Amino acid sequence: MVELTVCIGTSCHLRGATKVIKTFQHLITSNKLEKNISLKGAFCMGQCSGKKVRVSVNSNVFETSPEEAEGFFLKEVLNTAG
Amino acid sequence: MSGLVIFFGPPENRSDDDEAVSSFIKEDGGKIILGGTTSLIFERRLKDKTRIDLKTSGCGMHPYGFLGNIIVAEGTLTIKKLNEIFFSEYTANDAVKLLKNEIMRHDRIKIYHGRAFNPVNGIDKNTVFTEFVKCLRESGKSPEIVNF
Ligand code: FES
Repeated sequence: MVELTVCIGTSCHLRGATKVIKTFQHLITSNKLEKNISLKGAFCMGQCSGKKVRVSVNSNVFETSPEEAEGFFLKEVLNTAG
Repeated sequence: MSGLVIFFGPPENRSDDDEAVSSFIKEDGGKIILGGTTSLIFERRLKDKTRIDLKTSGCGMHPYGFLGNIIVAEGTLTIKKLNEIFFSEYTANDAVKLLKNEIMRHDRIKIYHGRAFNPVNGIDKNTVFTEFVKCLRESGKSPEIVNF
């Protein structure tokens, strides 16, 4: 089970965290990955100073944006989910 | 009299974190933590993680979660939205509504106001807080405010 966490703290919220969550939710459902990926939220990952939304895959922290979220999911999340 | 205690924002001096957190924890009544950095301070002290169920509470703009049985939400944007809708109907099932309901159903409101702010997000947290206190007073509440 891959743990995919999106930061929804103030800074990440302003950078489009809600849209990133919606994209991930859609990709998880349309690819029937509910049993492989657990989508979670965090109120701050302690790395607010980036330009994009903080996201972690298991314990590895990345950043993505609403525009890049789908590509990020295909590259980083699906790979990890196998 | 039933009480609600809200912790909004991290203390200005880190050296006050411990005192503020333990005094908040000892309070009676309902508790709400507002703010990402603030929630991290509590997570470290309580050695626990905030649980956010994105299916039930995270689908809207203002999600909430729980740290033990304490409600946790993002701070400044949640309060900003609450100020906007304080005297009107609000139907979204999210942290803003939950916070409003909790405030309305308690007679006594105490706020731990942490004065640190995150320069990264560029939001004027002070103005948002002042406006919040004004809304509380206009609705007949007399909040007790402890500044840290
Ligand atoms: S708000 Fe996302 S890392 Fe701090």
